Amino acid sequence: MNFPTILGLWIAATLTIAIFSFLYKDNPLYKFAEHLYVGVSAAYWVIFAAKFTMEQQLINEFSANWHLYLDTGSRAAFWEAWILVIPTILGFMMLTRWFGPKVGWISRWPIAFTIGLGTGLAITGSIQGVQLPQVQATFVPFWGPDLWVVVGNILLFTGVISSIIYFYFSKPHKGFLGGVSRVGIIFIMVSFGAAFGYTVMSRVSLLIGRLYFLVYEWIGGTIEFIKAL
Amino acid sequence: MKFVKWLTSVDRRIIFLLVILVVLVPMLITISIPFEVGEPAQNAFNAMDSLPPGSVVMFSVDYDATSYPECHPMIVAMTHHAFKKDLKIILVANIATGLPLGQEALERGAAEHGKEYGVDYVNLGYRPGMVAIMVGMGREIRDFYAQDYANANVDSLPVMQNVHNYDDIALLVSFAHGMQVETWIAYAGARFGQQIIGGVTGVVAPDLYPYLQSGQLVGLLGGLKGASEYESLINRKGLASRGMPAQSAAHILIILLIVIGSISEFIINAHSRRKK
Amino acid sequence: MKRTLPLVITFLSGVFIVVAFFIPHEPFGSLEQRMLVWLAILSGFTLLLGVDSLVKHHVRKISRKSKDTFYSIVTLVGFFGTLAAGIVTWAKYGTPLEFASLNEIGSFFWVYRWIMVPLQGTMFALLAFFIASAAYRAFRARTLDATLLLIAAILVMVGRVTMGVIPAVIALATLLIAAGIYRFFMRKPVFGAILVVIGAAVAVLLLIFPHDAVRLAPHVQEWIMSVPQTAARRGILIGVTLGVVAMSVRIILGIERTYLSST
Repeated sequence: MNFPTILGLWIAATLTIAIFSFLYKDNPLYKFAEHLYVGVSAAYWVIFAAKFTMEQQLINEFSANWHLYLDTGSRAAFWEAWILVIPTILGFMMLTRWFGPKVGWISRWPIAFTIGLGTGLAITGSIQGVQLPQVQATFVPFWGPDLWVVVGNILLFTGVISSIIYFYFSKPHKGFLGGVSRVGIIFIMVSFGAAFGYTVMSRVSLLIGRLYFLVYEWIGGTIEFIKAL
Repeated sequence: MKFVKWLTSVDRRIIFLLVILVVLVPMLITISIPFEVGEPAQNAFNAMDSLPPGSVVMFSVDYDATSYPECHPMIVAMTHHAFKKDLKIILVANIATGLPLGQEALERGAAEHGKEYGVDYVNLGYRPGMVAIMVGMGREIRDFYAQDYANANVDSLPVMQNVHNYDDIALLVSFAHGMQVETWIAYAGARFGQQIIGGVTGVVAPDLYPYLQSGQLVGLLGGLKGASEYESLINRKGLASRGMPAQSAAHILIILLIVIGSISEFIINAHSRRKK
Repeated sequence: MKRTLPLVITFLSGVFIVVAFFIPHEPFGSLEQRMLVWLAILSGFTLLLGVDSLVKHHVRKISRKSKDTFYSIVTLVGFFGTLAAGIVTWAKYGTPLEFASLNEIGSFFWVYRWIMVPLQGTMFALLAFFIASAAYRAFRARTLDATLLLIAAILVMVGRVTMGVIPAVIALATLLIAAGIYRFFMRKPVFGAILVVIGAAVAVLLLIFPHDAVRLAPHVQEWIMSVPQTAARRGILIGVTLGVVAMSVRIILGIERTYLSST
């Protein structure tokens, strides 16, 4: 274990304990860690945007095509390079929001462009990717190699239909509709229960991860470091 | 009655303390209990295991430190499995703050298996604009990832030589803590027929079961248990397997809390009713 | 300019991407690809949108000397410090994310590994405590629906453990019997009796076949997840995506324009 790692371990452990201290009550240590988190993560976004969008997708892309044009005289490469001016301008138009509503309205153009593309993609994606295959997979035969498959298939079909009816029929749930949506509620309750169970699992895992870090990486690592001295 | 009333009004910090103890104590005792592997995890393993050597798999880092204990053991285990089977790995990321975690898993796995960067694996880095990337990669990956994370031209890397779009990727694994697997399914899966596996947190796993049943998802690892199932399948115990005793103990505690909470309310309600 | 042009842009780009889906042939195919590349680039710019207000907010707080000045300084030091780490590492290695730089104090990767990861991870680990506290205080088997929810939750949790199945099932049986007796008190004898019988049956079966309970628990969990859970989830999913499609059409046609009002 080297010095940068052991120093890192101690900083990480201090920050971990600082956040856990919130469980006792809100305190300056927790607030310190919380504010540090906000600052550090904001810087991450900036670095990633600068590296992966500005540098790689704009500057490097431009220079690669420009050099190709200079080397080969390819018209296509020339245009490939210069057409990047459009997304660059649109990008900076987006940032006019920084300067308040007086100039900020300019950002509506690039936003409209992204919203338009996003909604168009959402339409085809939802229909082709979710609705058609999901509906198709609901129409399963009420017959199978064993009883469990048959029961499962019947329940699956009933559950999908009844929960759709429960959620999306705005008519009052009375009579037949009421009966079906009552069945729907049963399925939905089981599903919420399952989701709750899985959420418990998730949250507990996060705690295990942090306690594991404290016990094995921090304390264990420190002991190892001292032994090596 | 007094005892029941005390039970319902106990300071929540006592519950917090119980939680810490219940997680900490089993963690100190390293016991490993054999368990059966569920079908979704088995299917994920089989899909990876049946690929011929030299096939290209794409790992998408769609998680970050907020779900490290669940998703990270999965990417570690799958990296080992893929390298052991001599598969080639392409790393991409839809979550910026998670990319370094995926990178670490890959670099450590590569060091252990003696794999070479650019030949056996590549890190293409992060790109914002999830759906745009997923759809666009169906035509040409280079339109979005012309360089790797350190500006090397992808054409100069042997691993990327014949890889242009989803046709050249045998299997895609998304390690996710949000909507990303569903998005991969809706775009890369439905539109381009890409085979997809999800390695997700417990919170996300229930959302993906409909896609397992419809066959849109090949396999699924859900939460710490899913990760530990994969670890046991490749016979390499890691963070997930070591966390399972603590996970089990915490489940039991929470079940007991629910039961005690409910029963004490029953008693109080019944008592006040009788008084009336 | 301020309102109409954005609506026209949304309409044209939305319709275009749908047309390009159906006619991937040239020129639509390559034009769609170009639009997607631009969309990715613009998404990169949106990463920067919140940063200025964050910095301004804290600078303002410091200049006003409010009582939280210290914490604002912490945020700004964190921000500019990480930025500096990123730029320095970037200049040295050609990328901020060089794995080899993990062993250099103050490099971008080092800051990520030892500051970002613990902060982010622990912040979310707090939720484990709150969910345990909520389980105790809020999740009560008051109504039949709530009882059903809790039974499903418990069965799913039991199916995902590697030890302790038997005490958990005993707890479940106890809950069922108690809920049944409670219903009796509340003058709902039929439901009460059913719950008591189920609870007693679970308890008796557990006593006779303890090993089978351990063996069956994961299968019960998997069945709940893949049959009733999948059914309800799919119903919700189909409904939600119908809503997404309807909303998208409204946006493209310019009926829904709330996205323009934020500036």
